[in-house]
Amino acid sequence: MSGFVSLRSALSGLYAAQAGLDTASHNVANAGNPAYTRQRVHTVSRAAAATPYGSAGTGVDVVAITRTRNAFLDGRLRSSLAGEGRLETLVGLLDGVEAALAEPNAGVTAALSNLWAAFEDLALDPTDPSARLAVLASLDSVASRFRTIAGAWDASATYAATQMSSSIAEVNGLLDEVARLNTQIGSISSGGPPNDLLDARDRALDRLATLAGVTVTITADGAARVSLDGLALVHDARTSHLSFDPSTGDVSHASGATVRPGGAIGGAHDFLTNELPELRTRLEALVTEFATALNTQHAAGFTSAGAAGGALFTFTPGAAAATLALTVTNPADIAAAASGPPVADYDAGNAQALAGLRNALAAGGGSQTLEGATRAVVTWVGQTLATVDTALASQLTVTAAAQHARNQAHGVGIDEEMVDLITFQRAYEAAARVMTTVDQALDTLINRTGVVGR
Amino acid sequence: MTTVRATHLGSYFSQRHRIADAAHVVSKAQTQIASGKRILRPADDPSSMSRVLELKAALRMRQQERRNADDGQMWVNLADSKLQGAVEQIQRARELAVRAGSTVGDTERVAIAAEVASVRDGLVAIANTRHQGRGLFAGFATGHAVQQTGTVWGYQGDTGRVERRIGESEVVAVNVSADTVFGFAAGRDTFTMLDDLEAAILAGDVTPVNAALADMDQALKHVVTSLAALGATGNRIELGVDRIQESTGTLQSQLGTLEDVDLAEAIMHLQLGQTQYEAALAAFSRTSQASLLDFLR
Repeated sequence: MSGFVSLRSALSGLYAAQAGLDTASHNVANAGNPAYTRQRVHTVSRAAAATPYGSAGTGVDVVAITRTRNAFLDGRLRSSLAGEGRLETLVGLLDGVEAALAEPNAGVTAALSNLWAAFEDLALDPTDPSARLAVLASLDSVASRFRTIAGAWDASATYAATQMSSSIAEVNGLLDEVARLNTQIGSISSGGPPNDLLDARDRALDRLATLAGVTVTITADGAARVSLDGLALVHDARTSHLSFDPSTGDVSHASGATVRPGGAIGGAHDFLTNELPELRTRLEALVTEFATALNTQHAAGFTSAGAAGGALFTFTPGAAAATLALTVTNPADIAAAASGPPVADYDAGNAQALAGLRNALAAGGGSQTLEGATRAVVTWVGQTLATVDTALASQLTVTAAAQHARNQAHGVGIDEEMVDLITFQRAYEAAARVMTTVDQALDTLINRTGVVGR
Repeated sequence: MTTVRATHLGSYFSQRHRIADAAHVVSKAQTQIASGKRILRPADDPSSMSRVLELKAALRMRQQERRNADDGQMWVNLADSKLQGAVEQIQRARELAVRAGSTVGDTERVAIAAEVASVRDGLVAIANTRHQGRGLFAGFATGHAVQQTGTVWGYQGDTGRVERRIGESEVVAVNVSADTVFGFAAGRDTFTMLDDLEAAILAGDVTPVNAALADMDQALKHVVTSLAALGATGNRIELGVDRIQESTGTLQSQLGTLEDVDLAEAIMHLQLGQTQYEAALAAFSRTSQASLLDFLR
């Protein structure tokens, strides 16, 4: 028991200070890396050696370098991320749906107003070829507005499906990555936790939450288990992939069961299975009632040649908005006259009646005017989007708060690292000083002992 | 660890969040001021947007009703001026009948008869007046309103009512037909009366000439009755136009209230937003400057 023990404990102090400096340096280097968790050096004092006069300390050991991770904050942020991913996707898709309506200036409502006005202009002078052409143009404009909306909504559906399938591909990739990291993390049993692998896995789990709103549990032995609707996606090193059926918008688990993901995939799924079908049903009803009302009234009149007016529009039931087409192309075939044959040239009774459809309760199963029903569709879209928009705004605040809380706990504080740096630098200097002191003491013992009288 | 740590990324993210929020307020106020509109899309205010669309449709209808009313007014004004002319012509025929009833010479009688014939031709021209390519007094028919077949005068038009919608549910008929104006409907038409008068004058027959005075009074009555009807229609259209203008004003002010941005308020929002934005930027530049690094050497 002697100075050699002190040398060894000074050496352990040097090592510990070195580890502290290395860790502070690693922290500072990753100060700008959002996926990084601040690391700390854990030290314990070495087991004391028994001496005749009691136990004497023998130095310090570095036991581990750990992350300052808080699983509760992870969970809170991940559930916020899932909500944000879902709402952000929905808002993006509904924005496109709303833009397709082109209200209030270039939408169906304006086209309908112009149509009624064109019928009244025709009533002013039914022999005027330009008034007849204007009616045809207005009819076609309404039909093409409906077709444009249906087309844009179809494009939104395709976009949502594409987004879902690429997000699911990404999710499957991330699941494999988590499983691979589970294996790697499990295989490292000694030398403290593999902090940087854990960071990589947490980053993958955050992204999984944003995309699919998965549930994450960390087992006692450190493996991450990922599940959705109670079905395992990652179980230790095994993964079960998700698959997507673009025709139904359904997502299924490898076991064959249908799952309802959250996150961005859930947002696109909601859009495809709730919002869009509802909108399409409303538009379908509106277009059918519009075309039927105009066809019926037009058929009641007579063309200038004396023939009974036929149907103005054709459409395929079930896809009325997308297939709505004007059948009358010759201006003379517009049945402006109310009675005939023979048709009086200036009889504009049916043109007036067609214009009068404006006030007819022809839509909503006889409860609304056509314009009222159109406005109802516009309001429904606006209301749906506004609701989701408001929810997103508050979700963003919640996410920002969760992100901030986690950053506060996990992030690197430069000032703090500077303080650590100075602390460990001083500790290193002090340990080195101890060595020098012990060295000098030994020098005295070895070189100065027994030289008296030499 | 209970102390609140200020981390490098944490403070960066939250400052960035605050700056983005302030920038959003500024950009929203800017869009509102530049467009002059408070609601630009349905989601901005769904129920107001529904009302905006309704008001816009109503305004478009008022515009069309105004067109209808202007067109109707043209019909009424033209018919009115033509029938005023007809009144003068018939009064002239009556004066001629009075003159022919007193003892006049043969030469003068022939001249009076010729003038009666020209009055009749003038009235035929009035009856066949065309407006926008169609007979003003012929109902829906395209051709002449009045035509002589052999020696018989006949009404060639039909009973079509030229109707103009000048209000939500107000429809006015803006035409009168030669059928009523010139007595065809009453059984004895003005043109036959004038033919008879001309023949009686030429024949020097005093009794039928005197009888023709009653005829002329009857013809005048028909025209004046139609004029009164036209006058009433004209008044209705004028009232309609007043209503349209009043309603347009009301609709526009309602639309403005719903849709237009309150400029004073928007500018105040913009300034508040700008102040907030600048403060967030300044705070970021201040706090990111200070670091322990500056004090270590």
